[in-house]
Amino acid sequence: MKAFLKWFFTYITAFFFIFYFFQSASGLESTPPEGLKVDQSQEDAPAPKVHIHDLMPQVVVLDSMANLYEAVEFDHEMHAVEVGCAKCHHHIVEHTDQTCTIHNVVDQTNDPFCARCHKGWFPGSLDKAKCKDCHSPDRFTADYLNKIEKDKDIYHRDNIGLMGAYHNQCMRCHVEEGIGGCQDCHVRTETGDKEFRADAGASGATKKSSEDGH
Amino acid sequence: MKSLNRRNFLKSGLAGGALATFLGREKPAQAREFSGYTNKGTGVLVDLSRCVGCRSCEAACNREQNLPEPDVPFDDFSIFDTERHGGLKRRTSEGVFTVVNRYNPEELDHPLFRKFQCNHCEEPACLTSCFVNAYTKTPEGAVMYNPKVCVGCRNCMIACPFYVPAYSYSKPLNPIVEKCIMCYPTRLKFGKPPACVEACPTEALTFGSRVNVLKFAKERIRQHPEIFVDHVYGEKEVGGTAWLYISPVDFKKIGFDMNLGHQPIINYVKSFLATVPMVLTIWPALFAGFYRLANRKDGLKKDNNEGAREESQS
Amino acid sequence: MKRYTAKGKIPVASLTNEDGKTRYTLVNKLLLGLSIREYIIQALRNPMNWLLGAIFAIGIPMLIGRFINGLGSVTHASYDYPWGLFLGVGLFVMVPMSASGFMLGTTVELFGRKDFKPIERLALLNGLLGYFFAVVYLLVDLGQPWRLVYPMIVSFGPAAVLFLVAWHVATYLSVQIVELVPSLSEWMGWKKPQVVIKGMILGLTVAGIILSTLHQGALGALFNYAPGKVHPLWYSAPFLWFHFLCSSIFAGLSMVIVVSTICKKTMAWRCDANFLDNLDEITFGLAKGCVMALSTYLIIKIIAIAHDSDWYYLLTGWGAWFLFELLIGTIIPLVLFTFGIKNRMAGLVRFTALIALFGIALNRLNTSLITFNWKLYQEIPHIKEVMITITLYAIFIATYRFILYRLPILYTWQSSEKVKEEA
Ligand code: SF4
Ligand code: SF4
Ligand code: SF4
Repeated sequence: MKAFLKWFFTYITAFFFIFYFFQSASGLESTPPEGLKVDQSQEDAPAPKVHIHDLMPQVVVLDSMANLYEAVEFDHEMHAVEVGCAKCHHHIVEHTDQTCTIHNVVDQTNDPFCARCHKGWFPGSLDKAKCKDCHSPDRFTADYLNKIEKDKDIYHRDNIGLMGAYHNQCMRCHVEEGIGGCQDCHVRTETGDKEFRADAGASGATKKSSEDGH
Repeated sequence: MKSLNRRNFLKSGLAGGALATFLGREKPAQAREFSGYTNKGTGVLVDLSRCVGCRSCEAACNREQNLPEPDVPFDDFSIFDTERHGGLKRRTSEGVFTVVNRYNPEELDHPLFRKFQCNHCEEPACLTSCFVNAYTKTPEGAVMYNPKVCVGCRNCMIACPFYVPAYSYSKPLNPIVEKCIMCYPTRLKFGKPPACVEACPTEALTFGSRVNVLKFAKERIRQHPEIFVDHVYGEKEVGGTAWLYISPVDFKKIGFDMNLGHQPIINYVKSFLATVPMVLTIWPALFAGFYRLANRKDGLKKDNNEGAREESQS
Repeated sequence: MKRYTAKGKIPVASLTNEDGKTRYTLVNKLLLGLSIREYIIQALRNPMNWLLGAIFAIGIPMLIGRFINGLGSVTHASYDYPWGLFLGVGLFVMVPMSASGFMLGTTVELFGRKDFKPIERLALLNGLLGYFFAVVYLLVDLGQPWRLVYPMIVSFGPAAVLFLVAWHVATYLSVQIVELVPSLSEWMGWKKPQVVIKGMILGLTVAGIILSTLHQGALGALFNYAPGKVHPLWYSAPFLWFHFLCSSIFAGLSMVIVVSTICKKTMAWRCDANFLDNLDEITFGLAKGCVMALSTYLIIKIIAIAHDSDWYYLLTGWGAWFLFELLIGTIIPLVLFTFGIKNRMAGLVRFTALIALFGIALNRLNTSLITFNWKLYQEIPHIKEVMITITLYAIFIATYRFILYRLPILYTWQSSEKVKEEA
């Protein structure tokens, strides 16, 4: 409960700040029709005083594969400090000086494809820094599939699901760092051991089920 | 479904030919052009750039299809070094419906993994070659096999251009063909994605209607020309397959057969099938004619050198 | 047996013995008119029996093992080569060599070439046994042989080439059995069937032609399903079935030449003068048929390459192998046959027929096994698979010989007049 309240207040504060900056920016700038600004506004607007690191989650618990693997406590803060935000949050611009603000999170995108439409603007607000707002945790449920098959208004139909998004982001670096094995991050449960037939071949009986007669 | 109509056409053509023989009448020959598929049914897009070779899909398939214990656990990656006869990589077999193989194309600084299983062709060679009709293509796109009628001639294994079906040679009593069935009875039928798709942590496998995943494939290639080669494997190969592949390197280098052509396999057999009604209808008349001719000669000659056996038979 | 005939024992060739009174019993007929002791002695004296015995001793247990332990125990159980020697030899080599039945049936019954009559029954028997053993091979190879009748009664896949093969081989087998019933009924002393079948013979022969044309071609068309697997030099979608059909003609004829030669050499006591005296002439006649078929075959082989523009492949190793096959199996027989006929050298023609048979076997094995999967690896059959194949062939030979010894195939049954009188 305490944790919840803490997050709740953090988010409220965050909302407030975003609201504030949008207000002040547009006020200063006589609003270009596209609503796109960015660098200029950054200079003009009073620098935000709240550091993003104070607003983001410290730990994210990933438990969607809980039957095969125990939940992973993802050290969000460590990753943010060590590798920066944009490495994973691919729609924002990295600030090398580690002083990026909420403002930056929603303001800009460094993905050239996203930027074609979304430059300087991302729908909603800070919420959109959350992976699952674009990457559905239910990518292959009937509902989701039906929606992208039938609903003509949806533009982004091929958004990778949440689990896929995570793994694609994580594995890029983890493989390079040599910690690319599943169990380097995930502790396998008993069901997981069974799924992967961890005891297979242990009986010593030589079988040839996976090869032909040669 | 058009493709079904086409098969029916072939059937009725043959049946008609047979009937015509009995009736002694020739049916007008009709040639119908095959003009693409309706693309109904589901499909899976395999994005080889995403696959990390974790073999989760193999594990999930083993569980879902109640397959026997594998030789080594699914987290044992030394299996990628397995070489079969002739230096070939692993293939599907009795008890293994899908395999992931590792390739090391020189233009990449990391290995590439390729998952592979039945491609659930739009016009399956296995289906058209089966003389007891053990195979069916469901409206959902899965190519199913009925072990109850299979005689075990293994023609489907000859016909499958992807070397997919495997035969359980080890069973003396009821050997059957074993291959991926796209999880039809347990999942696909209920609109759920195959087990391997659901298990893939990197979403290297994308499930949806074939039309849609084909669009995804093309869109991904369009958006990332720097990653992908411009080809969707399975879009047209052997008449199209429900499973599609996009790859960061030339498909040839990672074990895909690029010489299969765009014709469904049955098209190669058509020229023969077309002669069947012809022979059935023309031969009797032709040879009866020969007989009349020969015997007329006989009559004229009043054949005098008939063998002794001829007498003995009369 | 030769010694007995030399001693004045006459093998059973009629319903009654020499004095014309007592009828031979079935046992007499089976023992060729010898006593059991005499029969066994002559059997033991024949080295061929020892060879067959040795093959059976090794092969039969393996054959039984195949049904107890499954196909995997006697073959490599290859997924890439689903069809091994059993079908490669048993179906694809046996069937064209058995085309003789319909060939001679047509020649004698339809074209009225009575001069081929003495060999017609041998050709029919050769066809029947060849097909029968093709089915036996098939039964050994099928995963679930007890379901062999499924394509006939349980589930139909009429768009499949194998469906045609199944139906046609089954029907044709029945046709051939019927065509040979006269020999059997003469031997057994039955009267009725001979009359009935005499009336059906034209229909049966035409049916034989239709069925043979289709299934000989269909065997080739089976490989049409594997455009990427059979080497392009051997594969040709529009021509493959025609290659198979055309080559089966000279394969069947050559087989008759070879078998008749063997009969003449090893079973002269069983042949009658009608057969022996006419044989050379008939052999030349058959060889002429071979020449026609061979030249057609050679031309369509080349046309097929031109049609698919496969010339490039001729320069590869496979191309050399292809040319070798074409040389051994087509060009050399063609030249030798022509030469032999011109100069009336029966011996040369017979030898050439043997070469032609080798050529045709090579062609079928090339298509079904050797060049199959040319992009993968070469399958070397399991030793047990080879043994079983040989054993089945030995059973084929033994059956063949058993029937030739007894039924009036090579000789003329002598007492039909008497039968007529009795009736
Ligand atoms: S991949 Fe092979 S087994 Fe699968 S549907 Fe196509 S032809 Fe049949
Ligand atoms: S679709 Fe189902 S049967 Fe096929 S490979 Fe995937 S899990 Fe296995
Ligand atoms: S589960 Fe996905 S990433 Fe893992 S091996 Fe299979 S396809 Fe590749």
